[in-house]
Amino acid sequence: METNQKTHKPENAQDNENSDRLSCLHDAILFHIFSFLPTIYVVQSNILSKRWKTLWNSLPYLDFDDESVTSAMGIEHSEETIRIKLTNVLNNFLLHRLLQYSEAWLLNHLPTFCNLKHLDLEVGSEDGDMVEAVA
Amino acid sequence: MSSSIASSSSSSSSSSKKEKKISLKTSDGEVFEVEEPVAMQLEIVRSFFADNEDVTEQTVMPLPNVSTAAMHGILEYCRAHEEFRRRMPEAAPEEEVRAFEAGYVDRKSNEELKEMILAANYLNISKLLDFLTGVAAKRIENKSVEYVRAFFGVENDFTPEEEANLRREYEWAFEGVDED
Repeated sequence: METNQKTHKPENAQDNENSDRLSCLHDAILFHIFSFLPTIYVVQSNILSKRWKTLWNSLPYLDFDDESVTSAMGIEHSEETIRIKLTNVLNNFLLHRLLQYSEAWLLNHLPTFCNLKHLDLEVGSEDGDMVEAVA
Repeated sequence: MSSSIASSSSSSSSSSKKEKKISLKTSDGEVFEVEEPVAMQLEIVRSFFADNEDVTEQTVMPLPNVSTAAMHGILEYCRAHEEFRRRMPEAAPEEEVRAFEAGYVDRKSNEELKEMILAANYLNISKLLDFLTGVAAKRIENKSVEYVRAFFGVENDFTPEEEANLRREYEWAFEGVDED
């Protein structure tokens, strides 16, 4: 993304030094907090400020599944809406985070891409067939 | 590991025998006398005493990044876990631990929680850090941008226009967020 802001705080924050210090939970701690949350929440966090906008792009893992995505979005568990939403989220995410490759390309190349160490992919089709890939 | 007084006392009423204490000084100058096994849960303290042969029982270790308030919280947690460990050295009583942790964290405000996360990180108490960051995660889960900003004390440095654009761009990630 276009911003490359460092975490320096503006000088005018001195009048509230304590809360300023607390707001400076550094990236490692923020990632630690994020590690307990499905990635969709991390995506949401990029709107907090310019610093946070760069944070989620360096998140060391991705975790999307239908449950976290649907509960984050408050969607009722109708299979069709879940499928559409999940696809939408993944497509958008991949558009933003990776590039516009086809799913087949990703399946073949993702494991060798960006130092991926663990890939746990489950894709279900409407008639119940399940394709699983673990790398 | 400092081994001068290995296991201070195995009896449950432990205060009868003199227990080795470690003196820790917080950022605002208060000195805490902490039982050795409790203090040794603080990795920064453990390595300080392991790496410095010339420290004595009188040595007061300064902890300039830890406030007195945070220290009280830290010690309450570490003492409770030391107590669990003493009673059940093989396996912690999970139900009890969970009950303690739930009550413990219920009493903490968001500010206190963040202060303690910083302290636990600095003191390098991985168990406590894991626990507290997990609690922080629960507190921000499904909350609005404004709530999370307030939680972390983040200053919004986007122009209204930039923010509106971002919200449009990431609309797909924002359905179903709770009202505060």
